[in-house]
Amino acid sequence: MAVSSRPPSSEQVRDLPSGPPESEARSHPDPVPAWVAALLTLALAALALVGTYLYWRFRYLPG
Amino acid sequence: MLTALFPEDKDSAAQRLALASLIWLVVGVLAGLTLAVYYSAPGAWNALPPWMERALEFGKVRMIHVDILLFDWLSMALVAGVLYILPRLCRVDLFSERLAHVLFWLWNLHAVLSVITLDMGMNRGREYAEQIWPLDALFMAALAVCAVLVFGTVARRRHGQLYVSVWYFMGAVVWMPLLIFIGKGLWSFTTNPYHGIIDNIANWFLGHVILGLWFTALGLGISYYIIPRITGRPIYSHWLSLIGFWTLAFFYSPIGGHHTEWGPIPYWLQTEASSFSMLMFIPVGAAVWNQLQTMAQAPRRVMESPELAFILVGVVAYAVTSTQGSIQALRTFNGYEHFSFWVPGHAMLALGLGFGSIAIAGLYYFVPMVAGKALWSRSAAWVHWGLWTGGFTLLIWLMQTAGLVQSANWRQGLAGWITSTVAPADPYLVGVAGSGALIVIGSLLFVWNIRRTVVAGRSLVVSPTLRALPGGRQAALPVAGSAPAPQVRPPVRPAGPRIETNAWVLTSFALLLFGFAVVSTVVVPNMVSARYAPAPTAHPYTPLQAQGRLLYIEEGCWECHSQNVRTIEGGIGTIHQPGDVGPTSMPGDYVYQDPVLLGQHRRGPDLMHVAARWPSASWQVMHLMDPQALTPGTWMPSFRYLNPAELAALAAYLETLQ
Repeated sequence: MAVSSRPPSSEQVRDLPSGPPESEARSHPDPVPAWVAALLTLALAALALVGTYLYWRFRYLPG
Repeated sequence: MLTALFPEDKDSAAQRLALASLIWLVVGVLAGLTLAVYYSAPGAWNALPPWMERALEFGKVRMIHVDILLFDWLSMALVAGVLYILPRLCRVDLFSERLAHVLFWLWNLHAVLSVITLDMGMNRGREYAEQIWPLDALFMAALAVCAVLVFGTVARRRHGQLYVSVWYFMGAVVWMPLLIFIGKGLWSFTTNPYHGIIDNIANWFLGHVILGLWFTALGLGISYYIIPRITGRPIYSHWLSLIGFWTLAFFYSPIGGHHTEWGPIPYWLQTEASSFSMLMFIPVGAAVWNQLQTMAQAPRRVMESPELAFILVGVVAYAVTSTQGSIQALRTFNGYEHFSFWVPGHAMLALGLGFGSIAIAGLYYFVPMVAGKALWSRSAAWVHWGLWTGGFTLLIWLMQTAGLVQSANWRQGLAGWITSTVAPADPYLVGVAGSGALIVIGSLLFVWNIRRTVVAGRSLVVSPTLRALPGGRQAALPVAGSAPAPQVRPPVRPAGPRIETNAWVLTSFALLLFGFAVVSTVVVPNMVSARYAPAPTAHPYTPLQAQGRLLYIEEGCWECHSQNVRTIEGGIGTIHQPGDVGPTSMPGDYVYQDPVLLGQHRRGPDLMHVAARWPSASWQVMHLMDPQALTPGTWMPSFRYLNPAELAALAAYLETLQ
C-alpha cells in the first residue's frame, strides 16, 4: 500500500489527549447555571410525560 | 441538591451516561434472551397469567429488545465516549458539563418511557422507528443538547486541526436529528405525513441510514481515538481517513431502498440503493484498512489490551457485515435471503458484534480513568471478551444458516409453512438461545467488573500527561488539590486544508451530501407517489377494521408477518401450496394505509392476501385464541388475553387483506 503515515496524521496523534484535564479546574466556567439545567430538564420531561399521556388517552385506546 | 443532580465536575456526565448505558444493556440482552427462549417453548407462555402473557408477548418484547439496545444501550454508551474524547481532542473542557447532565436525565427518561410505552403497545408500526411522537420529541431534545455540547466544545477548542474523530462526531450529531425528523415526519405530530408506499421509503431512509450516519460515525470516531492512544502509534494514513469519512457521508444516505427490493417502491430507487450499497466498499475498505494497519504497528498491544481486542473484533465485524450488506443489496441475493433469519443475523453482526464491541472498548477505556481507578479485573474483561465474541459469532452463524435453509425451502416451493420455515429453523434456534445466554453472562460480568472498578477499584497516581498504556494499569488522573492552576494556552495555528480546520465548512459539506440523499430518496419519491391510483381491492377502513388494524400494530403482528408479495414470488410463492402467497403487491394496494405494514421478517407467513387463503373470520378468531391447536408447531403467540370485541376487530381487519 503506497499510502502511509503522513505529516498531518503524525501531527494529529501527537496532539491526541493530554488535553484539558491537566488540572482539576475547568478551562472555562460552565455557561449553564444549575437551576437553568434543572428547569430545562423538568420542562422537557414534563412535556414528554404529558405528550405520552395524551397519546395514550386519545390514540392508543381503541375506539 | 441541584449541584448533585447537575454537577460541573469534569467527565461526570460521560461517566453517568456510561454507567446508565450498562443498565440498558442488561435490559436489552435479557429481552433478547426471552425471545430466543420463546422460539423453543412458545407453549410455555400459555402457562403465564394473562397480564404477564400480554406483557411478554413476542412482538412487544422484540420492540423493547431492538429499541433499548440501539437507542439506549448502544447510543448512550457511544455518546458517553464522545463526551469523554471530544474535550481531549479539542484541548478544552466540555462546553457545559451541566448541560451534559440534562442530556443524561432526558435520555434515561426516554429509556424508561420506551420500555413502558412499547410494552403497552404504543408504537408506530415501523421497524427501528417504533417509538411514539412524544418520545421522538424527547429524543430529539436530547440530540439537540448533544449537538450544542459537541459544537460548543469544538467552537472553544484550543487545537486548530480537527482530528478525524471530531469529523465523525460532528457529522453524527447533525445527521441523526435530521434523519429522525425526516424519516418520521416529526413536523406533523397528530398524523403521519407520509401516506401509502412513501411511508415505507421514509421508514427505511431512517431505519438503514441511521446505521451508517449514527452508529458507524460514532463507532469509528471512537475507535480512531482509542487505537492510537493505546498503541502509541499514529493512524496509518490521514488520507484514508479522509476518503473514508467523505465517501461514507456521500454513499451511505441513499441506500435505504434496498430493504424493499423487488417490492412496490420505484424500481429506480431500488437501483440507486443497490448502486450506492456497492460503492460502500470504498468507505468501509478505507476505514477498516486504516484501523487494522494502525493496530498492526503494535500487535503486542492488541494481545495485551482487552480494549484493543474488543476494537479489533468490532472493526472486523464491521468489515464482514458491510461486505454482507453490499452483497445483500444485489437483487439476486436480496431476492433469496430477504424475510428470513439471515436478516436479523446480519443486524446483530453490525450492531452487536460490530459497534457493540467498540462501545464496550470505549467504556473499558475511559470509565476507570474517569474514576481514577485501575480496572477491577482484567481477567474478567478477557472472559467477557470471549463470551461476547464467542456468543455473538455462534448466534450470528446459527441465525444466518437457519435463514439460508428457510430461503432455500422458499425458493424450491416447499409446501407447508411449518415444514418450510419453522421446523428447519427450530434446531438452530435452540443454539441461538444458548449463545444468547453466553452474551447475557458476558454482559453481567462486564457490568460487575465496571461497578467494582468504580466502587472499590485501586486508586491510581496522578500523571498530568496520561497515556493509556496497554492494560490501562499505568493510566492516571489528576488528584484533587495536586494540580496546577488552569493554563490558558493560545490556540494552535490551524494546519491543513480549510475543510479540516473549519468546523462550519466541514459541517456544511456533510449536510450538502446528506441533502442529496434526502432529495433523491425521499422528496422525489414523495412527488411520484401522488400518481398512484388505489388498487381495486384497496378501500378506506371502517371503524371496526381501523380498530383491528391498530391492534395489529399494537400487538406487534407486523414484527413477524410481512404484507409484501415481491415481484419474484407473485403468483408462484408457496405458503401452504404453490401460488397461495397471492399476486404481486403494487403501490396502489397501500394507498389508504398509514403506516404501511410491509414488514421485514417472515417468522409467520405473508398476510398480504391472507383473507383469500382463510376466508373465515371465525377461523381467524380461533387461530388468534389458540394457534398451537390449529397449527401445531407454530411460533405464533396466543392472543387469548384480548377481549372478544378486540378479537373481532382484529379478525375484521385481517378480512380486508384480500
